[in-house]
Amino acid sequence: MNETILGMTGLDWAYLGAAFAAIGGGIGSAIGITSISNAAAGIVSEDSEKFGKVLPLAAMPGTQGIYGLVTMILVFVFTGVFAGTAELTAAEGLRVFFSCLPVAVLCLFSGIYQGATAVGASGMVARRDEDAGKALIFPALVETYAVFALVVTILMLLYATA
Amino acid sequence: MARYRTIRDAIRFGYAVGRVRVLETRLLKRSHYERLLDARTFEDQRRVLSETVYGSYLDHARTADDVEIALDRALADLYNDFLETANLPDEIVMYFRRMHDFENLRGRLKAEVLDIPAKELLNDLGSIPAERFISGDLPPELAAAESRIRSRASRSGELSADALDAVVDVERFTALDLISHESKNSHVRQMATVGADLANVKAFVRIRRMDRPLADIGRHVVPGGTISVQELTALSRVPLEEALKRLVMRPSLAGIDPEALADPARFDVAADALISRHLHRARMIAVGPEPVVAYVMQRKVEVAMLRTLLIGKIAGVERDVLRVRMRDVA
Repeated sequence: MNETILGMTGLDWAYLGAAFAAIGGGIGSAIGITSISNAAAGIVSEDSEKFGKVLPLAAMPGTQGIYGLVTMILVFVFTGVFAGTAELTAAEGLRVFFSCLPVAVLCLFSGIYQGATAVGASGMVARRDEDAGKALIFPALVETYAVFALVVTILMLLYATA
Repeated sequence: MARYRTIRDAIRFGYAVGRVRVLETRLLKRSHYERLLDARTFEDQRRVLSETVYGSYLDHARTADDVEIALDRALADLYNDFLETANLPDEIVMYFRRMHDFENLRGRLKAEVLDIPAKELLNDLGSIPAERFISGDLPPELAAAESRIRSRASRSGELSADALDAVVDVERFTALDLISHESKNSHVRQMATVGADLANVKAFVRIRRMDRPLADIGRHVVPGGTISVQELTALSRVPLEEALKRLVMRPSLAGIDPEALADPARFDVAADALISRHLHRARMIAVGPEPVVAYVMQRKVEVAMLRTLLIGKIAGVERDVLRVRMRDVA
């Protein structure tokens, strides 16, 4: 259990993977939300009745950060960190690290682009209230790939810690 | 690079673009213009506009001067409350402001020639306050432009009112061409190019109508456009109507009615509308400075149209005549 890869133990690699997932998802969400929130604030400053219509758009890029957090928690659960029984070989730890990468990378980019898509979609809401439902669809399409990343990460974690 | 621009623009211009998307829904529509044309009196026109953004500005307007002041105030508020706060690069804001600086410079020099108070011909839409034009306290680049205008528009030591317009236009478009290149924004550059082409066509028409010598064309051609002096000289040999039909075939002037170019009463509104149409692609961009620039341009067209409609009605211009002036836009 004391073996290392690049000077890091199995648990170190697992922690690093969990951190990457949380950081990647968090950065993606932060940038995505900033983008759409600016546009939403502009819309609401001119027409406050549109607040409820643009809020779901503004909240949508926040899910990537949640996926990052979920990944981090799952890493801690699967590796026994919460239970205090964490014991990983360096190879197992490296597998956990790689398992975290889909969420870390995909949530970073999908959060940013979901925000950009939501800015465009918010223009639809600004013009016509009745298009609020349709406007949600386009950023939701970007969300699909963040969900796929989470599914892939969970499956890989299950295999890595089996 | 493109990825970085997407992120940067969404953060930098997101707020302004959000506002634009709502404000665009409040632009005057064709039905407004129809009702303004159909209105029997200026009072009726004011009632039509009472539900729009212009309602509060025109509340106490009674005369043509009141309308001018009210519409200038509407534009001033657009510049101060929107353009200046939209996080746009300084060069883009200056592009809009500088146009009015040269209007003021022209106003002050005209007032000098006509021996009337300059205040009446100035507005507060430029980058420097109107009072500084009266006191002569101008920034170096405007002071230099004024000095060049004075030397080029003087006949036997005195300013000539006839030459003033053309000479000021050359200086104005030289400045706008420079600013548009500094802005590094393709839509602003396009706006400057179309504006310069329109100014050159205007000068060409004026010279043809006044039967001036062909050599005058070279002196009045402004920089930044796509029409060369040689082309205009060649077009001087064909009838004016035919020359204008050939000119509107070029991409920068496509879609404008050649008759509007020949009619001074229609020219300015048609010109602004053409630039606004050129900015159509800019409006389609999801986020960036382009939708903001396009909105400001649309509002400028709107104000130009209202000026024509309201002052025309006050002056007793026939409805059909007003309709002809409006057809380039509505």
